[in-house]
Amino acid sequence: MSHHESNAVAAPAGAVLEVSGLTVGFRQGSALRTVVRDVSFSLRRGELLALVGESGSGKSVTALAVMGLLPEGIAAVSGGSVRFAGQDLGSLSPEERRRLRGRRLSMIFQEPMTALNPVMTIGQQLAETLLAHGQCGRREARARAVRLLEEVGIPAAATRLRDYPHQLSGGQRQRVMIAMALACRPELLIADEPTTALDVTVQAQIMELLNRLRRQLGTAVLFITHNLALVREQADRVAVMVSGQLVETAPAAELFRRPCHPYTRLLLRSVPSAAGRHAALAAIDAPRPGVSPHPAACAFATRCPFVQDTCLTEPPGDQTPAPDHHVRCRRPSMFDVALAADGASEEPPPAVGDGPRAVLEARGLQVWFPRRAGLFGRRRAPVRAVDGVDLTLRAGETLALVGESGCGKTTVGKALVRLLRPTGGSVRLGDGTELTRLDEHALRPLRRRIQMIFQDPFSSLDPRLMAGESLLEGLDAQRIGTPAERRAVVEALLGDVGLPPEAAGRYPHQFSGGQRQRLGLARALAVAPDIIVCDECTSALDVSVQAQMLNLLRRLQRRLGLAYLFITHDLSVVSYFADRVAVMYLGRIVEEGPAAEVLAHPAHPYTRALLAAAPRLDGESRRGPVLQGDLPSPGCPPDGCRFHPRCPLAADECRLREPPRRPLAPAHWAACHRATSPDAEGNFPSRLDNRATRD
Amino acid sequence: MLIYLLRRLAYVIPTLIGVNLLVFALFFLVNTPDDMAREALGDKASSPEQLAHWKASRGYDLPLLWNGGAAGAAKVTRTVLWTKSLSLLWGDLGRSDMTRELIGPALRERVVPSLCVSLPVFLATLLLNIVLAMQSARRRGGAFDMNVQLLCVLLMSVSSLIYIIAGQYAFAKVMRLTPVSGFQPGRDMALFLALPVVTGVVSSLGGGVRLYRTLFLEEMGRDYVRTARAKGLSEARILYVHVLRNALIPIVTNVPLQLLMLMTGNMLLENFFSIPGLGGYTIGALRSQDFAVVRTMVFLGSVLYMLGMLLSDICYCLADPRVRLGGGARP
Amino acid sequence: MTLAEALGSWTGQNLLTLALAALAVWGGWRCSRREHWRLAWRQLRRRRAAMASLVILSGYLLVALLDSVGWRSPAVSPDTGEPLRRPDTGEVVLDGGRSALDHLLSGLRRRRERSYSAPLADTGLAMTRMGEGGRGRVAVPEPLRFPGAHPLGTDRVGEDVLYQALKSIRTGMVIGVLTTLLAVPLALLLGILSGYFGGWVDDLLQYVCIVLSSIPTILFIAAFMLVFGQGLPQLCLAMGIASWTGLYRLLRGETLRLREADYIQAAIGLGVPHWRILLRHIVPNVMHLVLITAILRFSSEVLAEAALTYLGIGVGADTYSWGSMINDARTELTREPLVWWKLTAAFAFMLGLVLPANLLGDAVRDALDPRLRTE
Repeated sequence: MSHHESNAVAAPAGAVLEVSGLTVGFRQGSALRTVVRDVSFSLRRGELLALVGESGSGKSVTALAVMGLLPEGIAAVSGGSVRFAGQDLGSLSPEERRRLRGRRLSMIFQEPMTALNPVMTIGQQLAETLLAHGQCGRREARARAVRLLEEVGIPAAATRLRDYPHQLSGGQRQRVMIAMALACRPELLIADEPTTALDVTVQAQIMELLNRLRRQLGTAVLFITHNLALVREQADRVAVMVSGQLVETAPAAELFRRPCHPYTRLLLRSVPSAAGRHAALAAIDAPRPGVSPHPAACAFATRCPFVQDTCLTEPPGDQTPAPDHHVRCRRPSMFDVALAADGASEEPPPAVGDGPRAVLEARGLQVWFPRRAGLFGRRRAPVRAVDGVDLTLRAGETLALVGESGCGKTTVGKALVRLLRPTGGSVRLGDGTELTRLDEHALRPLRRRIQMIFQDPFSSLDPRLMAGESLLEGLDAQRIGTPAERRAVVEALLGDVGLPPEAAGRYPHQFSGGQRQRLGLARALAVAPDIIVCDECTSALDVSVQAQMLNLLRRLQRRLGLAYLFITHDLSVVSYFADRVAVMYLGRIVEEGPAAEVLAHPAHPYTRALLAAAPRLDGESRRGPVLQGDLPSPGCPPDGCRFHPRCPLAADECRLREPPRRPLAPAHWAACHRATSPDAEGNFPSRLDNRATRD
Repeated sequence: MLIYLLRRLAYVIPTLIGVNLLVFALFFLVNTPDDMAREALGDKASSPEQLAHWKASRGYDLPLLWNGGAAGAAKVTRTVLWTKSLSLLWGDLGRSDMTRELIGPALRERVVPSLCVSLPVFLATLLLNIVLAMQSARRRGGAFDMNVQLLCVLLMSVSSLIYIIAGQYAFAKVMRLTPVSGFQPGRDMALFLALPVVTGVVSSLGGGVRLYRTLFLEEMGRDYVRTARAKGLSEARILYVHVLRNALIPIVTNVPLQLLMLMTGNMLLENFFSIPGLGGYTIGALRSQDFAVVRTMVFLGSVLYMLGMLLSDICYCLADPRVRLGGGARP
Repeated sequence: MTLAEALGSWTGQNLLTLALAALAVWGGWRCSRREHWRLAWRQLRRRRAAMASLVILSGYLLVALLDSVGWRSPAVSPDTGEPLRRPDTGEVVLDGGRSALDHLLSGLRRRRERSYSAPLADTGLAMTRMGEGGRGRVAVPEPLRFPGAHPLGTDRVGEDVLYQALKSIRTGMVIGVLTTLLAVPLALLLGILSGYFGGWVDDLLQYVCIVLSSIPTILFIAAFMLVFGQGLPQLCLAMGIASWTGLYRLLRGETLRLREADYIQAAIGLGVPHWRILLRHIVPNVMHLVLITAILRFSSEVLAEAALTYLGIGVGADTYSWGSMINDARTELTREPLVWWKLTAAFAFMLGLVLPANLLGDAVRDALDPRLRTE
């Protein structure tokens, strides 16, 4: 660590946190593997610094090192220093550090589900933080806890103190976590992906809360995320990490206007958006094999398209293209070089209208799950996961099915592929074959027409089978071709998804997440389907890997004329990838239409709320009010319009009568009593827009 | 919760009927009353009359499943199935085949000595398990943990017979600290019980500590522990409040079941130390081929198990807020 | 010839042993072709305790195998040493047959003393009736027929203790292996059927499982052995039936979890028949649990045999086993001078099998199931 003095960013006066040259190693057997190398940044009072990077880049490890929470005996700080309010944390005893935690620096985590102790009431858990730091006496702690809960917007706080975590919704749990973290008014809050596990509307609620408290209390926030749009919206400054190194630090506006490091630039160009609809996304390659750079060299060198020989052998230099904008790259003036337009715009897809034939039609699709009530229990109403969904999918098009978790979109996908048996309605293939009434045996040969790919790259391939065996599975089951032909098909498929033929002999754990998703796609393609149901198939991937997957999906669609039902919660992917979009809420579709039209002129209040809640990378702020409350249980959906309890426009009519579909534009409809056609400028007049300007 | 318990209760009855029929099949279909009589009287010296008399005096002369000769309900009730097996369901335990004494009272007088041994063993083991496992988990990877782990594997690898024999030899014969065996209610009871209790604890310690240690370690790796650390709680509070409260749920809810199972007695300890308990009673019955007693003990064991499961379920409902208040599934 | 007779004869037993050995070799070969087993094996090889355990266990296994194959040889007249012939036909008469181990250890077997002798002693102890009414027994020194030839001494009837301990190895191994071979396939089949298909299949199997597991294990074995009589096959059967329920529950739960895995859903979506999904996906993905359970249970079954034999519901006194050795030795501790060697031999030989099995079990669990890792 000879060079961290020179690299250390000059700490501005009044910095709450100064990290300089931080290096963290993980013990592997007897060796120490460095996962964070020479990281330096500082954080001022009341500032929100976003630490951005792909998974495994060392963001969370950096945060845990600051907190002093690295897993004992496994990871240790091996260099550099962390100064908190002028005090070197490394020089403190464990006991002294413990007394700082929770009082002057605190942390919230990604999974609100598991981060709270399930067998203690939230009142106890809140109070113990106060008591542990001697903030108040036992008697006063209760009153303080109530005030804290009120502060984070939990209604009827006094009665909720006795609740256990499982009685709260995910968003409420994260509010409790925030209340606990801010109980002692810390100077620094570290938020490690605090909204990643939450729906976009809840994410907006939580971000609003965090921002309000940050301003009120003057707390500095180290915000760890992989969501670039959220960073653009929320951060004061941004620090970009890649493979354990900090490569670029800049004020947020500056970074998004003038990204300098090749990684940052590629990363920003890999985010899907409506504007880049017809171009391929930038993808960041996997490390080039056979290159072993110097340990202190740029961590991005093996993946960088602009790599020079010196990048691999010497530490990256420091550049300061603007005040407070630091880039660690050996290439001078990187920001002047234009990125090669690798994704030259492709020809726009054939216009989708009523032209191409339908390959799948679902009418009144219904999936109800019975609830077991036991021998003596009363009969309980079934869970109406999917309750009357109509969908039409045409050859060669992408229909996106959008909604929050729990709205039933995955259930629709599984029912179409007949992994679940629908309890009502009909599903017909393009040739009119009715699928819902076929038994398992008759269905088997038809299964090849409609395939599914899944979200979790770790569970989508059998860990005990080689990739080739997984790909052969469908060919065997559908008795396609001779054994020799099947092997040829597998090789061709691997080529199609960008993997070498040797990959057939490797096991899933030898592939990266993105490669596994591509293998899952190849397995589905093996049986030459007409339709592929993509169930959140890019949600678990880093944005640059997602870009590869989306590029691949689009290329294959053009070539093979595939129809995709693209199930997702990510509106930026929809805007980039989908031809048409259907918005789902509590088991029903509330709005459907061409993607561009629906996203530009949403008619249903729910669609608008979703769009308003989703942060945007283009920086365009088009926010409506944050949607309040949580998704009701599909076990007892509200009467009338299912959205009315959360709808800002709800009237008596909405509470009583189910809204009919209202056609708004060609192929665009919304199921809402209050939806109206757009005016001449294409805007929907409504009270919603009048309230759009808030705080 | 009430509905949940009623559902569990509804499981108990068919299960007990199933056990009853299984025991009946084992004792009367595989091994007929004739076989029993022959074995009881000895193979050689048994004339058909003697066999018939033996069976008649013990009520085994009835038809097994269906009494065609009887009238009305007696067609069913005047059978071996009804009088010897199903009768257990309503608490009629019958008489011993050998001594002809009623089994019910015999069991009642033997329960207390059995519990005098097994209860202290159980409680001491539970306590030691928790304490050792907690200390071990807390210092995981350290010298103390390693030694405890090694000791546990060693303890687990030795037959409990050896512990008993060695204990008797060392403490009773060589050092003469305790009596070799025997049982006496009253003042001397502690002296008589010391050795059986110690050997009982030693022989069941190894597995228990290992199991509980795994349980504690698993709990210590959970996210809420990280949250507690981030809140700046002391290590002691994290372990003894947060971790223990979670880890103890499966341990404590299992206690009622284990307590009830203690009532069937510990055969090895009771036999070696001549304690007049139920375990010894069962062994006596086994050695004298007293089918009636073994049958009853098997059925009673199953009744106690089912009752214990029920109580444990109730405990679980009470101990875990996720079940008590609904909304969460059993983990 | 009935099945029992066939299995009782040497030909039957040799074939059975051979079949089991072939099965083990085939299983090992199949596993060695799979990456995850090889990975686990590499991990296992790094642990010295596990490798030492494996060597010791192989030794035990070898002895057990040698004691499981055998042949009949011509009977010899005890007086003349000439082969016996049938008086009518002149055919050579064959004896009951002895195992390969018996042939190897014929020296130890034949060197019988009259009564006790300490390890490697030159003089033995004879129990003589003394005193009024012949109630007391006193040991008097007595020269041995084969001085210094008994490494672990002899017992009351003068039989070599080392020979008994070695012969008991087979009993221990058979109990461990046969019980596992009975319980594991049953639990595997029923567990994955129950978890995969659910519905009435699951309800029925769960009912059977709860009925069986509601009976305390020791009482179940007691009832079983009382009805069927003592003996090695009966004991294996009783322990097998009593012990499949635990693994069944584990595998049922695991299958329920696996069933929802995306790769199984994908296979269903591709139209792969259920039986193929069970064989190709479910079975390989639960095999590590089966192996871990089998190894860890092996040792507890060996220990259980001793206790059960002591209680009179085990293999019976006519079969060599550590349980019956301990049982005999118990009364010997009251003798003067102390007769300690039989108990010690049984203890040492048992520990020598159970301790490595436990150590290996832990190592295999660590290598195969990172979730259960103890450290």
